[in-house]
Amino acid sequence: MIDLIGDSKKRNKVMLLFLVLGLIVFGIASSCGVYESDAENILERPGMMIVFSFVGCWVLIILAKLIMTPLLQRSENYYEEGGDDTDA
Amino acid sequence: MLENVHPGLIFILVGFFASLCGEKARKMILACCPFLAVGSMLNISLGTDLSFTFLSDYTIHYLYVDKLSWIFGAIFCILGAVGAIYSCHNKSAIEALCSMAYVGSSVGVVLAHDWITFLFFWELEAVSSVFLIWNDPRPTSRAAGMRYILVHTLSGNCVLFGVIMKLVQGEFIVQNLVAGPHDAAFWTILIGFCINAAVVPLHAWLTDGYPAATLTGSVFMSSCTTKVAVYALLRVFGGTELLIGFGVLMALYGASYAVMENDMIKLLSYHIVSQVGYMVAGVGIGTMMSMNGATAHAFSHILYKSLLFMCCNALIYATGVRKINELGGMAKRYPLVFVCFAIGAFSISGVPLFNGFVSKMITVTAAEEAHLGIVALLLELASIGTLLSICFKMLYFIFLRPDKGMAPEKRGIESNMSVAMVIGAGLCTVIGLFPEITLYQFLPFGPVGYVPYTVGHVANQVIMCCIAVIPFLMFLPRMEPHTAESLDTDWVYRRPLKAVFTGIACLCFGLCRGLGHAWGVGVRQSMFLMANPMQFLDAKPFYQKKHYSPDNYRTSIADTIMIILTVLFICIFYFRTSL
Repeated sequence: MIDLIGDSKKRNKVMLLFLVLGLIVFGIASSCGVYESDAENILERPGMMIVFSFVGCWVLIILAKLIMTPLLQRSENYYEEGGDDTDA
Repeated sequence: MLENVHPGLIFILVGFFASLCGEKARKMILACCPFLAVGSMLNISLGTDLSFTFLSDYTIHYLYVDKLSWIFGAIFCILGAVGAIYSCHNKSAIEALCSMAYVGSSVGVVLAHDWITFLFFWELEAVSSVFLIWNDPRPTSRAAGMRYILVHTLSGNCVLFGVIMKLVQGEFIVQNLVAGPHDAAFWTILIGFCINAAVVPLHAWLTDGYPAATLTGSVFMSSCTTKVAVYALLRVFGGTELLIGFGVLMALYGASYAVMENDMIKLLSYHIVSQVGYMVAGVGIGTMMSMNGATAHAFSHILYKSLLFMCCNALIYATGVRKINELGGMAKRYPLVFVCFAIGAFSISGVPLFNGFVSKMITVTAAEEAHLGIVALLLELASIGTLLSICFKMLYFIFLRPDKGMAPEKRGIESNMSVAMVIGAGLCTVIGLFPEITLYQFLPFGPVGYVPYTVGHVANQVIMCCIAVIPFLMFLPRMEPHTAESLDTDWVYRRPLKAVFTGIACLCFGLCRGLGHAWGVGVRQSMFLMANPMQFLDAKPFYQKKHYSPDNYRTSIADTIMIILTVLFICIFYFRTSL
């Protein structure tokens, strides 16, 4: 089993591994002529998929964990306290 | 032998006989007999239209097969067979009946060609599925089931209203309504379908009901109701542009809520909303490619979503724990579940070689080709959300991190559950590897026009997986979910509207009770009077004598009048028809 929470060095190594892997795949795809700087689809422009994936993931994390969680999450018994689920 | 036998009827009969049998026989019936329905579905030739006349001027088309109904019918039958294997250890006879009736009615909706048959199976689907929630012994399931059936009653009534209007207008066949007229029938049917498709904000029944269902029941539920609604939207509302925005909203909404969730089944339920969003957007775009994309994604989704539900429910069955923050180290304890879950997670995330990859991107590419760049981009963003919450969060926190010791094994996973998971994982992989022969050739809206395994598609997907994991790992110490209730649109009817509903219910109850009492007194007194009409002449108050009296036992003259009238009507009817 992998403890990536307590072991930050291991976590950094895994991050580096995935970054390198992503860049290698990007390099191979670029050499095959997949990306064009004037492509209509923004994600088919060079490097845009990397930027989009990184920024997009952060956007979702910030939205869900830092905005929605404090705003929308209540105690586990929130509805039961109101008597809604205790009628059985 | 099985040609032109309704596969839905086979499922319903299987459920009926399974519920009558003992435990061992039920196990055998559930493990084997649903494959008859699969055989029957695969055997039906395109263009089949079986019908009978009903009420002299209405034709019931109960078995109509074109390319669209065939592909949906086939996948529902496959799901029914795999789900039946997964649930055949179940001791509950009523659950066997309801789960098979549920799949059978889903197939029935798909194969119906006229509005009355469609509506009949639509309602049967709702009624049979609610028992999969009520069959769970948890107290919260009863209340959740009640909310579920109320919402589905609303959906059914919306469709019923629209169907009645269509019948009055002389339209009996289920067909595309987008060309118009955009009247009340159009909108009520659309709303009814949208409720069942869990279109935001009408989706809360799903994330409220599915986690409350039984472990085996939720496997069927994860795949039927919403996908039947997607079929209905494809059939009737293909090209309704309004649905594009709702589809994108669903994709992002479900993915965002899933990142927050702690309950495994609730998290997967939010992902149903998200994935159905792709299909709804595909229906809304309305091009051949997008409609094929919606169909292909529904096909893939049924397989990988049921697989994910089977894996999570197997863990809950074995440990009794459904919260992610109490799990960990499950890969070591249940390696088979881990492998199957990983295949389901890779499939839903669109990782190359698995079925989500070959279906999800068709809709996204269709959006690009329709010059809806922002739609394509937002759907790609929702894909990142799926990766984040299922591929990274669930895989790491449930399976790969060290065991927290909070989920000791209560019992082993049944062998039939393992067999079903392996079949599901196998199907996800085979379709991912050979999409042309297993999926694309059966798509109903012409040639698919999409090649999944190009360098560009594969590279972009691999880059997305590799890069999106970096923010997840950077945020990992704060990524673990917490036990909490996430407020959703059901809050409206579970909190502020609750007082209104309770007030109305009390008023109705009081009124009914008062009227019922008055009615009862009236009936008792009038029956006594009808038996003893001479009492009308007495000035005494009416009462029944306590000691024996023939007055108490006389036949009421109302009975005599009733018998005379019945005989009269029978005579009139007989002579009218014979003359």
